[in-house]
Amino acid sequence: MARNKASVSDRVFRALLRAFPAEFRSRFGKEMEQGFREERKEQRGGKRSGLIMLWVRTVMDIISTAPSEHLDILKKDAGYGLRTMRRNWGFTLVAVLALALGVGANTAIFSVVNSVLLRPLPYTDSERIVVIKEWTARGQAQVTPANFLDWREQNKVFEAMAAISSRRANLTGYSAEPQRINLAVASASLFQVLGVQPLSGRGFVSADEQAGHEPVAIVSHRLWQRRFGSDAGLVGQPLKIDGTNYTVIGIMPAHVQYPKDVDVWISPRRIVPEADVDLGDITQIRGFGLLSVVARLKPGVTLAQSQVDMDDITSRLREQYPESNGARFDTVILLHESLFGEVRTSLLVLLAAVAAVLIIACANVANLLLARSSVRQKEIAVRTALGASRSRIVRQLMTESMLLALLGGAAGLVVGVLGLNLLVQLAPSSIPRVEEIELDRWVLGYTLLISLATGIVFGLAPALQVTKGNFNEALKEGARGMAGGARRVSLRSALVVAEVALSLVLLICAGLLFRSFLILQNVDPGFNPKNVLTMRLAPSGDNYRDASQRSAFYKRVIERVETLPEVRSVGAISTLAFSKGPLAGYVIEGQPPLSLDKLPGANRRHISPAYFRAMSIPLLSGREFTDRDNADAPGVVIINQALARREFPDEDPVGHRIAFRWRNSQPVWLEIVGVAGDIRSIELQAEPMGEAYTPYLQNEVPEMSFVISTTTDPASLASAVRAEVEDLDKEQPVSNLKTMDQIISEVMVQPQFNTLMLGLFSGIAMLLALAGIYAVMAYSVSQRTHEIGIRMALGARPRDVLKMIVAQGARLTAAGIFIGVWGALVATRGLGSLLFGVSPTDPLTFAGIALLLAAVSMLASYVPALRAAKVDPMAALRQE
Amino acid sequence: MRAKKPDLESHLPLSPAAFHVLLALADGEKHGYAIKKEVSRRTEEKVRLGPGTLYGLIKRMLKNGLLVECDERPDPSLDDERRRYYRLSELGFKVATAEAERMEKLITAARAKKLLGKTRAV
Repeated sequence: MARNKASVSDRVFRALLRAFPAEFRSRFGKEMEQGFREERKEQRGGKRSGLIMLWVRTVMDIISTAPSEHLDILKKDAGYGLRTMRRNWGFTLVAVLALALGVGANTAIFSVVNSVLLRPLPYTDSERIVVIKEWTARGQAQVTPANFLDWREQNKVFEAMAAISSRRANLTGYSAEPQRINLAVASASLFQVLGVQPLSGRGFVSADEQAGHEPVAIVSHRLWQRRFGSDAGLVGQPLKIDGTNYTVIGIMPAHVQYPKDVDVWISPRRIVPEADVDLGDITQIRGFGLLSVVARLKPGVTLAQSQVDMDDITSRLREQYPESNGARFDTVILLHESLFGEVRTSLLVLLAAVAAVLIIACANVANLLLARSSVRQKEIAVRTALGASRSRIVRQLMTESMLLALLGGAAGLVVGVLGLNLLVQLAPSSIPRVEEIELDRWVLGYTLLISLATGIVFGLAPALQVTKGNFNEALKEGARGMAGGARRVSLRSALVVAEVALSLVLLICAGLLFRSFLILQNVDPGFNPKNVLTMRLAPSGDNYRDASQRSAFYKRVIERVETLPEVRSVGAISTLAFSKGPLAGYVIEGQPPLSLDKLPGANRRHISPAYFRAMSIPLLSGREFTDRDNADAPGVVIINQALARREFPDEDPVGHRIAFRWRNSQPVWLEIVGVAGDIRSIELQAEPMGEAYTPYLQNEVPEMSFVISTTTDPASLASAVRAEVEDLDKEQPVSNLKTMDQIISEVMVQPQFNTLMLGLFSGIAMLLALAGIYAVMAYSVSQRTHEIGIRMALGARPRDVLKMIVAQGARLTAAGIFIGVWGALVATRGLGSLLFGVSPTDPLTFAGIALLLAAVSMLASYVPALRAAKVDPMAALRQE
Repeated sequence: MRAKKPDLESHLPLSPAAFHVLLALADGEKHGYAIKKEVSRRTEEKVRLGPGTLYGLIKRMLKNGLLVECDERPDPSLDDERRRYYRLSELGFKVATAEAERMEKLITAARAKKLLGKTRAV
């Protein structure tokens, strides 16, 4: 029994000794066991507690001393590794450069992903804030006021719910020039939903949204800084917004930016945020939407539970109000998702691209290490002969790899910082939170992690590979004759094939985006953007309360601007191309009636008579509007080709009647007087939608964009146009003064950015892959010099040798391209939403890129092949 | 002569545990367990060198040339197993002596200030 007990204790002690490095154990392990055995023998004679204390002391001693033994070895290996790297500085430089590119690209892109997608919103418990979206048969719609009130009253899952109606407004007063601002009419509970407190003053209270309350406003931090110079005394001061006086009651902190880029929040006139046109008692409006809605989940309530609750409410409303709510439904999504969901695909594609670049860089470095392993074979053979175990040597090689990886990581951090600065300059404004993008501790931690991971990835296989094999052979002859060399060659070839495959995937993705971008650039928008200046006016104040007063102002602006030399024509429209106009449900006279929420929709815009002329949009049939199409004349409308094809496929629509409004449940008919050509009114990528144009003189139009067709560079007329407007009324700010070309460039910025980024990364990947091919082929040639010498001595001509080497390179390239094509077929599916006019499996792009890569790869093989063809057979045969 | 001084200086002051090990070997070669036992006995079990501490010290002192490994032979006072013996090198002896002299100076200074053999007056 005592012997069994002793051997169990020995085994336990031996297991504890495994905390020490193998080297230390092999040197002192036996003595440590002997000593401990003796001590146990001595303790056995005494109290049991003495034996227990011996074990405790021994375990504590091992725990405290083992790490320093490991550190000792690490220092030794690190010192040796640094000396080795210094001796082979060429290799070190190439490896560090490759890693720096890979790590740097990852650092830059991860910074963006971290700041935009991963960082939580700067609101309290932001994961509990949701957006409730409403949908009709026509697609996503804004929420109707009456529905909002019912949701707020009937739900069981939200602790607060708020509605917002956003628009542009004119801010005057406070001794500064009139300014166009982003105004949000918001429920008093908005800041409760966001979980924020004002920087100074107070937030809204429920009294602020009751009828007859004093108009109050809360100013955003950025407006407070830019317009009011961070005036500490702003709270309590008056502001004039669209001619109405408001008292500033609070200033929000800098991080409160909801809705995006908001300047001022005001509370509703009565309970529900109103639009800027008079719609009467909007709490009763259920037929069309005005609002966006946010809410805060009660503690413990999940998103899924809130969706179930909203679905119940929706069903009840559908039964109660079939006419307006029959086809409406709603979805509850996290605020984070609604703000950043659209940009997620682009960013994740970029993250995948830089990950691929890093993998290629690792493969390159692994290849370099494998190439060097033949040179180090003798060194390792000697160490093995002197007693070093395989694991000890692998440990040392891994330490060198980790050092290389950390050096590459440090260089990568520098590349990443520079790259990030450039990226932020080029980033389109559609990327949210661009101003928050920075290198923080998470990014530093990520950089360190990927550096360490790359060290393991590129270091392990070569370390294991080089320590395999018969070292006796290495000691006898040169490294060339090493057994295990063939295994190393196939690993190197596999790495090169992987590099070629990955870089092909990236190149194809970039190629598809590039083609998509070119197609988008050449899309005919349906109008002529050349020599067109645009601006936006929203007259407000006591002189413009009436629709007719506003219309008169627009008319005067058009007449004044038309008098400028070099102005060909001037038109006006309520919402310019590339901005969403209200999607209005309509009914065609003679067609069967449908409930409100099931009506088809068209973009409804109000225009001046010369609009089509100014935009060079063709009129395909009928007539244009004239000044006689005013409030006293019968209602008229011009529809576009898309709407005409949809509703009147076999006849001329002119003369038919259509209605967008109802009065006392009767449609207000408008006669179709013309058909205009299609334009891409929402985005270049989307097919033209149904458009209906009505005369501005027959409608309430709170603001209009002016399109000024010029005979010269439109930008040169900007100040003259502004001067004409100021001359008419200096209280009315001119905003969005830009050329149509500029507007189209802005629309192209996101696809341009995607293409540029992916093009850059795929270019880096291709260069790294080519370097990999070159290195493998050059090494192969140097290894086969003796064989080449024999072949030439036996009659092979230089061009036969050339063909042999090039064929070897071609086989690697072909294998890589074959695998890469399959990989690309899978990967490009993820690009779907980013492509336009080109399919993710476009054969032309696939074939073209594959041929390009094949050609440059052959070039990379050709240089070493040329060298092989020039081998002197006599010298080669003498070489051992 | 001048070359040896920097060698000595670079080892001083010794850690208490290192000095105990050198002291244990001052009167002849011993194996690891014997060193441990002597240190424990001399300090009335106040200093107990664990296996990691002891052999970590032995490893470093072998590397620094303060100790030399001897042959392996059985210890007649223990079992039949062969044990590795260590002894002081010439450098080790000089370093131990230098450290003892350093401490002697400290003791002399402490005695002069009447720190030894008296309790502090309140």
